[in-house]
Amino acid sequence: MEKDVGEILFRAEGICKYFGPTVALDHVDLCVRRGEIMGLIGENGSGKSTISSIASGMQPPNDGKMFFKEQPHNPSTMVEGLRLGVGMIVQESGVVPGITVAENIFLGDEKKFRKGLIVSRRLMNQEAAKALEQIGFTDISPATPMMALDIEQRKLVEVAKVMYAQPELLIVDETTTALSQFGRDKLYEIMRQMRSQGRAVMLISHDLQELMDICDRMTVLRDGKLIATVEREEFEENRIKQYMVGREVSEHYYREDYGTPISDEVVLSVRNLTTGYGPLQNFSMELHRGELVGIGGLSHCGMHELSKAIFGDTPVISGEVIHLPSGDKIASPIGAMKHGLGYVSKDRDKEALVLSASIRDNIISAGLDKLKNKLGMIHPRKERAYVQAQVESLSIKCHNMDQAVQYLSGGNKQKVVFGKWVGRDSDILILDCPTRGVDIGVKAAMYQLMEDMLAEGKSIILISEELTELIGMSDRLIILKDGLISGTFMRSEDLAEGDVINAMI
Amino acid sequence: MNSVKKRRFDVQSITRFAPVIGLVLLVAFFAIMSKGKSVSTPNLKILFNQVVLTALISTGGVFAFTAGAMDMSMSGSVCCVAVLAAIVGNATGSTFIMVATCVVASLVVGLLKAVLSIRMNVPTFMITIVLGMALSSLGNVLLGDQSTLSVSNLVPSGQMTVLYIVLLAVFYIVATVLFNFNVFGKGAKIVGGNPRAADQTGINANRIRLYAFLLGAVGIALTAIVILLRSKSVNASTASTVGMDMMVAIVLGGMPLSGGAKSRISAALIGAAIITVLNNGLMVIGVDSGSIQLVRGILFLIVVFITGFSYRSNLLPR
Amino acid sequence: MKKLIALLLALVMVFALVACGQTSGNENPAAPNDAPAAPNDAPAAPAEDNDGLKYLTAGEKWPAETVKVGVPLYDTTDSSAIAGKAYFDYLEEYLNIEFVYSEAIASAEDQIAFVENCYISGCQAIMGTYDVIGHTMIDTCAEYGMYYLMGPSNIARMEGDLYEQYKTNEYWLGGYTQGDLNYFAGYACAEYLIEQGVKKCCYASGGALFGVEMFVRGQEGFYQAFKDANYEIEIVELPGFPSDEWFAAQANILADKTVEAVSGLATPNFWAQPLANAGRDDILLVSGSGAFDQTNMTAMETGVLDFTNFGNVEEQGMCIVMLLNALNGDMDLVKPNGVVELIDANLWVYDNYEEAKAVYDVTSGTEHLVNINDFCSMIKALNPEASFEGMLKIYGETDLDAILARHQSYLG
Repeated sequence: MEKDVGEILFRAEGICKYFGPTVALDHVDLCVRRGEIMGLIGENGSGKSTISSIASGMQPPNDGKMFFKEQPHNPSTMVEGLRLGVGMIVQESGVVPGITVAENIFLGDEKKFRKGLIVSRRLMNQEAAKALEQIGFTDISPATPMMALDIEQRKLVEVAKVMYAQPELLIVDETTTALSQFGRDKLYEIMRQMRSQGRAVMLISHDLQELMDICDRMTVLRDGKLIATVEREEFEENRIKQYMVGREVSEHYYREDYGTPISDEVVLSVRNLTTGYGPLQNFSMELHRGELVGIGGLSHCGMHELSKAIFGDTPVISGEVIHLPSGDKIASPIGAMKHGLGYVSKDRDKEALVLSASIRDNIISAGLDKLKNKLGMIHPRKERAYVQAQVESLSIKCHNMDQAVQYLSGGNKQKVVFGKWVGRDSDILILDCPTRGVDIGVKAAMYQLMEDMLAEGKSIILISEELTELIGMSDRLIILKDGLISGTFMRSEDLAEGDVINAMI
Repeated sequence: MNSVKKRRFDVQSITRFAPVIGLVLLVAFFAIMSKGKSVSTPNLKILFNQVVLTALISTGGVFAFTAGAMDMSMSGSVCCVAVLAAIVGNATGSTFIMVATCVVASLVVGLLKAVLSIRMNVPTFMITIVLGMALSSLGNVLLGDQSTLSVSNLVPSGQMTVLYIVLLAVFYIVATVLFNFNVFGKGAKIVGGNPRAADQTGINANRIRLYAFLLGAVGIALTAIVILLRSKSVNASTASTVGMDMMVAIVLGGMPLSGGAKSRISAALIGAAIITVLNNGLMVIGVDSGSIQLVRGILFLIVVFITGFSYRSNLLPR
Repeated sequence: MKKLIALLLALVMVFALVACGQTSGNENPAAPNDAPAAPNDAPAAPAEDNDGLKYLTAGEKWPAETVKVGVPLYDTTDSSAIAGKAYFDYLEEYLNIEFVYSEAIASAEDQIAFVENCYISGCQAIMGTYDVIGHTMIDTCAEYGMYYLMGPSNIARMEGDLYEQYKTNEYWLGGYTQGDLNYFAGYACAEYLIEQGVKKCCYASGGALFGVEMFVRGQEGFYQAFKDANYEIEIVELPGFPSDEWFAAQANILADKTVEAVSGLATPNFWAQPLANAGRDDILLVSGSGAFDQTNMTAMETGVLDFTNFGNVEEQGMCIVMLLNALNGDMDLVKPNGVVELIDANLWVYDNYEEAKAVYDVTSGTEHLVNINDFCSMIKALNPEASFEGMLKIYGETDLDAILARHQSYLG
C-alpha cells in the first residue's frame, strides 16, 4: 500500500459555487497530499462543507476543475465518488433508519449478495460484520435495525460503510461533534491509519483545538474564499482564529466575574422530578433571580430530558416545577411561557425552528401573545419593529428578515432561536446546548448575551456538554450521572475540570 | 453567509411570483390565440362565474392545509350540506332558511372534522377521506329515491355574477387579513411547518386546527350556497369535483399541499384562476376535449417537476 | 435563474402543444358568435345523382355558416356515447356542423361551466345527453341565447309541472328522448321469458340497488310485465356490479340447475363468458337495452345471447334535424303545436341473429339506418316538402326492408 508520501492526491482549482444569489465558494484552490491529515476550518457558512460535498460528488461546482490522482475528477453522485476513491462521512446523518445495519452498509450494493433472485442476508451480514470489525467497532450486530442505534452508533455505521470501500481520500465532515470520546478515538485511529498507509484525510471542523491536535496541515476558509494554508509547525491558535474571523479576537470569552452575590429570591423550584423518558430521577433544584445554573454530565445522564421537563415539554412521572413568584405549577410550554420561561432546544433544526419559514416568522412565533391585540390582530409595523430589534441586537446576518432560516449558517440559526425568547423578554431561559455547532464569533456573542441577561436580573439554566463552557459561565454547576445528581460546584476561579469530570464518570 | 453578492435577479422572489406570472402569460396567450375573444366582456363574466366555486372552497381550505391538516372531505362536505339545505329549503319554502341551513350545517361539519382531527391519533387526511365518503353517502341517503332535487322555486333564475363576486371578495379579504395579520394565520404556518417547534413555542395547535376547520366550514357554506344558486338543483354528484379542484388550485397557486411556512392565501385565488382560465381558454381556442386533458396533465406534471426541483436544491448542503 | 428558464420552457412546451392540438382539432375556426342566427338565405340547389346525394351538392357543405353544437358527456367511454360520436362524425362529413364534446362531466356545476364555455366558443345549441338538471340547462342556455335540445335519457326529469312550466320556452326545442326506454326494455325481456315459458329466472338488477335510474326503471318494467300477464315465475335477484361477492353469487346461480334464464340490462358483458365456462348453454341469456355492438353480435351468433333489445343512437340525429330547421326559421317542423315535442326512442327488439346482423351491418357500416339523404329530406330548407310528421315517420321506422327501400327511393 505504500505510495509516494507527499505526492498530490487531490487538487481543486478555482472552484465556484452559488446558491441563488449567495456565493458559497469563490475560486477556491486547495490540495490534499498523500500521507497527511488535512484540516479544513472556517466558521459556519465559510464554505467548508460545500467544497467537501463537491469533492465527494454530492453536488457539482458551478465553475472550476478537480483532479484526483492526476485524473480529472467529476463524480456526479456520492456513489461514483466513492468508487473513484473519495469517501465522505457527512455532517447530517446519512443513514436510512428503517433498515438494518448491514443493509445500510451495502445500500445500493445488494447485488453483490444475490443468489439467484434473492439477496442472501447471511452473506451480507457476514460481510457487514467484517466492515465493522475493520474499524474496530464490534459492539453491534449487523442485523440490528438502524432505528435501535443512537446517533453515535449510527455515525460509526456510516464510517464503516465508507471505509469498506477502501477510499484513498477520506473526507470527514463535522462528524466528531456527534461523537463521544470513544467514537472520536475510533475515528482518529482510522485517520491515522490512513495517513500511515499513504492515503489521505480531509477533516472538516470548526473546532480549532481538535484540528490542531490531529492535523498535519490546515486550510482556513472564510466567506467562501481560501484565506490561508498553515503547516503544522506554524499552528498558532490566535493567528488561525484571526484568519477565521477576519479580525482580532479578544481573549474575553466567558464570564470574568467571581463572587458576585446571588439574590435570595427563588424564581423557579424543581421538586423531586422524575421524567417519563430518560434516566432522570428525583431531581430537585432552585433557581435564583439573576443566577446561571449549569447542568452537565455525559450524553445520557438525563440532562436534556430535564431541560424539557422544566419547560413542561415532556411527560413527568413524579415531581413538579413551580414558578415561585406566582406559585403556579408549570405543566406545559404554554404555561411556562405565561410565566416568562423560554427554552432553546438542543435539536435546533427539528424542534426550535421552522426551517422553511422566514426569520421574521420564526422570531415572532414565540411573541404572538405579546404582539396581538384583543382580536388577535398583529400590526405589520409592530411586527417588523419587533423582529428588526432582534435582528439588530443579535446581529443576525441575513439579506432581510424574510429570508428562510434554512439558508442561514448554524450560528445565525441559533441567533434566531435566541431572538424568539429574548424578543418576548423571557425572565427565565432554559438553554440546552446553545453553542453546539456554532462558531467562535457567535459563541462569544452568546456568552455576552447571557451575561447581560444575568445583569438584568434574569435567570438561566444552561445545559451543556462542554465542560469549559459550564465552568466558565455557571454560578452553580450541577453534574448528573445516570439520572442522579453526582456533584454540585459553586462558581470559583479554582474550579478545575478534573474535579468536575470525576463527578461525571 | 457572511458576505453576499447581490445578483441582478432575485430568484426567490421570481419563484414567489411564478404563479401570477403563469396566470398572466396564460391570459395573454389565450387572448392572442382567440383574437381577444377570451378577454371579451361576456367571457370575463363567464370566467367570474366559473372561478367562484373553486376560489371559495380553496380560500376556506387553505387554512387547514397550512396547519398541516390535509382536508380531503371538501367534496363530501359541500354535497351533504347542499343536499340538506335544499331539502330544508323545499320543506319550508324559504330561501333564507335554506341559506341559514347551509351555514349551520357547514359549521357542524367543520366542528366534527376539528374534533376528529384533534382527538384521533390518525393523520388528518385519512380521517377526512373516510369522513368525506361518509358525508357524500349521507347526502345520497338524504336524497332518498329522488336522484335530483330542484330548488328553482327558491332561487332567482340566471347567473348572479355580481353576487358571486361580492361573496368571494368579502370572504377572500377576511381570510387574507386572518392569514397574514392574525395570530391564527401565523400560528397555522408554524404548526404546519414544524409541529414540534410549535409545541415548544407555546402555540396551541389544537385551537388553530379548530379555527382552521371552522374557516374551512365557511368556505363550504359559501360554496354550497353558490352551487344552489348556480345549478338550482342538487344530486348525488353535486360538488364531486370541488375537492380535487381545490387541491390542484392550491398547488398551481404555488403552495405545498403539506402546508407550513410556504403557504399563502393567494394560492387559493391564483390557483383557481389558473384552472378556470386554462379550461375556458382551451375551449375558446377550439382545442378538443381529449387534447384539453392532455395539455392539463402536462401542465400539472411540469408544476410538480418545478416544485420537486426547488425542494431538492434546498436540501443540498452548503 | 435556472428555475425561471425552466418555467418559461415549460410554458412554451404547453403552448406548443396547444397549438398542435388546435391545428388538428379545429379546421373551421370562423364560427359565428351571435347565436342563434337564422340564415334564411335560399338553400343550395339540390343536385341529382351526385355521389348518391339527393339534397346536397358534393364537395359543398350546407349550411354556409358552421353550426356548432355543444354536447356535454357524463361518460366519454360509454359505448352509446362512442357510437353517437361516430354517427355525428358521419353527419359532419356532409354538413357544415361541428360538434364540441365535453370531457367527462362529474357534476351539474361542471356542466354549467361547459355550457358557458360552449357559448363563448361560438356554439348555437347544446344537446344534452344525460342531463339530470334539464330545467337549469334550459335556463342557462336561454341566458346565453343558445337553443337547448334533449338527447337521450332526459325525459324523466322534465315531466309534469316542469314540462308545463318550460314547454313554451323559446330556447327549448324539445328532443329525442330515451326517457323510459329502459322500462320498455325490461318489459320486453319479461315478455320474451313468458313466451318461452320460463319458470325460474335470475334478474341481474345492476345499479337499481343504489337508485341508478336506468336500472330502477328497467327492473320496474321487468316485474310489471309478469304482473300484467298474470304469469307465475320465480325470480332470483342479483343486484350490484361485479365484485368478489357478486362473482360468488353468480357462481351459485350458475350451479343451480333449476335456473332457466338470466335477464337484466346489458347482461352479455358479465354473463356470456361465465355461462360458457359453466357449460350452461341451456340457460337463456336475455338482455335489455344493450349496446348494439360487436360484443352483442358475437354473443348472438354463438348462441349465448338469445334475446336482445336496444335503443338506436342514430335517433339522436333528430335533435340536429330540429335544430337546423329551427335555425332556418321553420319552427313548424320543430314545435308544430307551439309547444315542445318530446319524441320517444324506439326499442329495437331481436331474438334471432340473422335479423339483428342485417341491421347491425347497416348501422355500423358507411350507410347508416338514417342516412344523409334521409337526414336532408327532413330539413325544410333542403326539401320544401319536409314535415314534422315526415320526420316522425322516418325515425319511427324499425323495419329494415322498409328502411332500405326508402334509401333506394332517393337514388331512383
